[in-house]
Amino acid sequence: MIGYSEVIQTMAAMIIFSMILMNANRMIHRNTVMQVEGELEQEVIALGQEIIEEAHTKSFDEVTVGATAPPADIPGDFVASTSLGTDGETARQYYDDFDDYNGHTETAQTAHGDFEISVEVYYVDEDDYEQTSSKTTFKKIEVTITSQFLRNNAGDLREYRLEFIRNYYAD
Amino acid sequence: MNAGLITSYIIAGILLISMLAMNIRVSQSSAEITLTQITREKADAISDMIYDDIPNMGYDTEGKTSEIITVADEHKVTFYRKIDPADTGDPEEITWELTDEEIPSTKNPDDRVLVRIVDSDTTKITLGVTRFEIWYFDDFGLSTLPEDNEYLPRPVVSSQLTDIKQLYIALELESAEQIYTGPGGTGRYIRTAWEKRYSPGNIE
Repeated sequence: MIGYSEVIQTMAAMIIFSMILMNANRMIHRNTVMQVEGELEQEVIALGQEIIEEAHTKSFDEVTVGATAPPADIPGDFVASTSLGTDGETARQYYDDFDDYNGHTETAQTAHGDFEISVEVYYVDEDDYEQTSSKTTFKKIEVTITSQFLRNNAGDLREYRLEFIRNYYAD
Repeated sequence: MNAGLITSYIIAGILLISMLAMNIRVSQSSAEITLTQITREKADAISDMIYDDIPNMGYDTEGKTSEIITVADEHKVTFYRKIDPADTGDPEEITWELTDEEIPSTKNPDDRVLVRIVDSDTTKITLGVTRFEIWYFDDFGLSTLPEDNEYLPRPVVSSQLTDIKQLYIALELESAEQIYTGPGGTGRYIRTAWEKRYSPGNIE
């Protein structure tokens, strides 16, 4: 066995080294994934902000579009919570009020790949800002964005949600 | 010298070379992360400045400025905005432009000086910008893909400047130094991109 003990020791060293190498590779891979995810997440935020800012430039409600005077009954004259969404507008460029974006979905094609966007708009309670079926002077927009390259550890699509609460009187 | 010893020397040699290669890879990865972080921080700094200027274009202490966008070109935009609401003077004329001037302090041949001019006061931004491109849209939510051709032709003619409703800005930065992927290999610059469509409230 003399002479082969060195071989056995070297092989043991190789096994230990292989384990270190695997760990190092895993770390490098994880770092690369994080770099890519960071870049994509910047795009997610930009897309979310883009929808929110665009919606914010529109009227608060359908009854306030082009109106010269405020509605007589606030918030009673606003659109019912069950009717939030487009009112005949067929595409994003025709949306004229904040809640037209409710139910809006699109695939944004960017230099960083495709992103799935879905939007929800609903009334929120003025005390706790939770969703309510009553009409209030607060509407919340919730933009959810996913990308096939952004997944959680289980491999499911990670949902990024950006929210903004708009008050009729703060316009 | 017996065969076992020779074999163990050979294996030990392979092991040492492998360790060296691993060490180089870990160092490269580490350098890449650092450069990515630095480049992204620089992009964030510029995008923060743009984010303060563009959405506020046309803002004046009393309503909107009489003129808002005066130049709308591929790599240049000029507009009016009031920067300090407490200031009683005229709104400032602001220009963002990617110049052809190279940045002498970096080795990257592609980076250019980005300038922000407020009236006649020029701020040179030498953070490694390689691309600063602007598209202008006369409607909301149009495709931002250049091949779809839904943007206004640039430079936007003066009669169409008031039609602009949205601006789509793409910014790309590259690191000042290269990352080398292997001994003798060609290096590459770390790139970060940022793009966003703006809907300034005063031009809609």
